[in-house]
Amino acid sequence: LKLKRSCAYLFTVICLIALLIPVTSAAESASDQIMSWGIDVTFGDGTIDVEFGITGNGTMNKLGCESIYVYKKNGTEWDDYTYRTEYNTGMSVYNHFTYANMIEIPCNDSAEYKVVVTVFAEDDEARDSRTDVFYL
Amino acid sequence: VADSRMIRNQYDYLRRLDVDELERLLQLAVNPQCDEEDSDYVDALLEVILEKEQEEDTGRLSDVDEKWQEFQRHYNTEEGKGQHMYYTEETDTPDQIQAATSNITTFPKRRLRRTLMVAAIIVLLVSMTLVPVMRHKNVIQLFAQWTEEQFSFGLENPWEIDSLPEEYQDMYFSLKKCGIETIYIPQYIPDGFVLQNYSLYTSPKTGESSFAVMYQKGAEFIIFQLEQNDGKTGVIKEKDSTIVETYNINGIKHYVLSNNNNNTIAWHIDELRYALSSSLPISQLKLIINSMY
Repeated sequence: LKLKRSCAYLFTVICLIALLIPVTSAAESASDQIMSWGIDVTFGDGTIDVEFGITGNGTMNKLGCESIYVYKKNGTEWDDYTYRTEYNTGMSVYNHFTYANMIEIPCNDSAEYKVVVTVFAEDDEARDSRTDVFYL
Repeated sequence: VADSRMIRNQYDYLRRLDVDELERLLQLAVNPQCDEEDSDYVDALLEVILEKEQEEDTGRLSDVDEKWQEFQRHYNTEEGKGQHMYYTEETDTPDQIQAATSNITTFPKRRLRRTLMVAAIIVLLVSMTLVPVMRHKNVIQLFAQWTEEQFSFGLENPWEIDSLPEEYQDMYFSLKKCGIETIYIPQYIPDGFVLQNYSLYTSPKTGESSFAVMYQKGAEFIIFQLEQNDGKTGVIKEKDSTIVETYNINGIKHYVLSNNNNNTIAWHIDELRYALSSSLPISQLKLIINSMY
């Protein structure tokens, strides 16, 4: 009986500890380049609207959206659908401390999409980025 | 006597088992809910174990003489005289027995406790599954909005204010269109800092504005941000593992974050979120914020 009780307490403690461990194993750290960022992805009128904003720790050599990868659901699989990179119009700017924009990607409303968006900031020292995944 | 003999016959088969098996049965038979029949069974088990031990001593049973001496040494002492080790109906009043036995866990209490524990575990497990579904990084984010690495307001808060230099005008008129006429802006910027750049972005999707202005002095910078937010899309502030501190000015809670060599103070007033970030120390940022109210 004592053993059972001990096991129950141990299990409870393990559960509590597990709650405190971040679900995403690769926890991001503080950044020398990025001060704040935000990404939102929603359906527009026949488009996937990717809205992002990023602010650097001072003026950056380049900052903005590094990439947008869109996948379309095909049964249980995600097929490549389309993508944008930092070199596409509206994705990034040079020599600024902040940048925000919305990128519209044509799509078919009736389908399901996975969108992986990465924002970045780059100075003389390094480039740092943050990624978020959205399901529409 | 006849009953006792009948019980003996009923459990005669136990004599064919060895002591180990009998002990196992005894462990299984010990049950707080046991009725009279179970109790006879336990008695029979104990009796057979005792007999077998007397036939062949395996050392399982304690040495009676040794235990008697131990009792004399530890319990049958001067200060123990007139007292007894267990509550009995013969020597204790009903109140004493009641008081003593009230602490004994009864089966319904145990079942209630076990049910509560199972319910708590289920709630915890469900909470854990909600964490990724709600796009939080851990359970704490279900309630508070900062982790070791990042900081973000969960929902919006209160606001008000006056006056504005040129770099704030576009932002002011943009907010005014949304019915917001009062904002707080820095009235003090440390000596030597000059306006470097500013930016106003209005979401074509939501119509909400976000504004940022940067002042610079050599490698030092000050960035002031102001943004409308519906609370659905959070802006994440990067931070290191330094504990988030808070302090109040004007009855508004301000959050102090450290991001490697830079510092940010963030707060919100109604639907406007403010942030002041800089390579300057926190004390300097507080001076700037004090000038805003």
